[in-house]
Amino acid sequence: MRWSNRQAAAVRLLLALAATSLFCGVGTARAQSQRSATGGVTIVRPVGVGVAFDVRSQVLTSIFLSGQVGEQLSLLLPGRHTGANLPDAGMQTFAGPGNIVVLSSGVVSIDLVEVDQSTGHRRRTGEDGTMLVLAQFN
Amino acid sequence: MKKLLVIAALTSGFLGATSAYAQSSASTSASGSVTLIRPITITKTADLEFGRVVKPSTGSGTVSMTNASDAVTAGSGAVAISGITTSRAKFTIDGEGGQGISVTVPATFNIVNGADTIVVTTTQNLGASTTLTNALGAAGSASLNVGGSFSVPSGNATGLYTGTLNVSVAYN
Repeated sequence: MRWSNRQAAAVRLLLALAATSLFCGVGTARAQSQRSATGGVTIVRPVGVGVAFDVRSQVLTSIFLSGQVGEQLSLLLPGRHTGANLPDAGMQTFAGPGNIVVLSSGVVSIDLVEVDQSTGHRRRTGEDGTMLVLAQFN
Repeated sequence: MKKLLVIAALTSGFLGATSAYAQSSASTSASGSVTLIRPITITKTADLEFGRVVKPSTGSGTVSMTNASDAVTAGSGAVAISGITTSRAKFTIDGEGGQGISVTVPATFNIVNGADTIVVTTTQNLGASTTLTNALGAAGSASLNVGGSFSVPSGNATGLYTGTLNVSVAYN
């Protein structure tokens, strides 16, 4: 089959138009690059400190720490006695070297009194005077 | 009549000569050129990490990190725990030197923990349009840093919130 001159011209025109549209398509595309980053934050509950005061004996019996389970706190406490019958032994279960405390539960109690085995009376550990307790998140 | 024919013959001869000497083709030149530039790429070098933040007991706390520092600032009851590695998002853009580029960073993106969502408002160090270092013919680059800020209501659940920050760059 042979094309007439008019048919051939029409084909050439169509090819030219197609090439032009292809060229325009390439020309309008934008060279771009995309990348992603991860955004993250860990929200933890606030630390709280509370105290328990025995009105009858006028003794500060314990302090409470409240916070996120697994959080570490630096704890500053006054000098404490040690002994099997003293509450200090309980403290050793959660206080590590340098008085670093890892909260094993949402609320941790630290006893500040010792019980006299002979009389059963509760008395405060350490020396009398001001007691400074400081706890902060590491 | 004879005179008329002679004139007609001369005229046609002149016309014939004229058409024989008229220019039948023309030429000129145009230059072809193209400027090739290297592809533009963007590479992440650090995620946007706010570390660990203590939520407020009541109300709504604020947490922010500028695009100029990796330090986290918290206020209004929220506390940023020190000693935790934090970082703004960092990207390196590479391409042809001296070329103008467009940088697209979403104004906000979400970080999610279960049913709780925190909306992070972003801040970046480059404008919407910037120019790569060096000149045409050499590699150019730019550093994109993205910081962010958000509010932490006391009612938000504790835990890890994560989300995706998509950024893109293109030649202008």
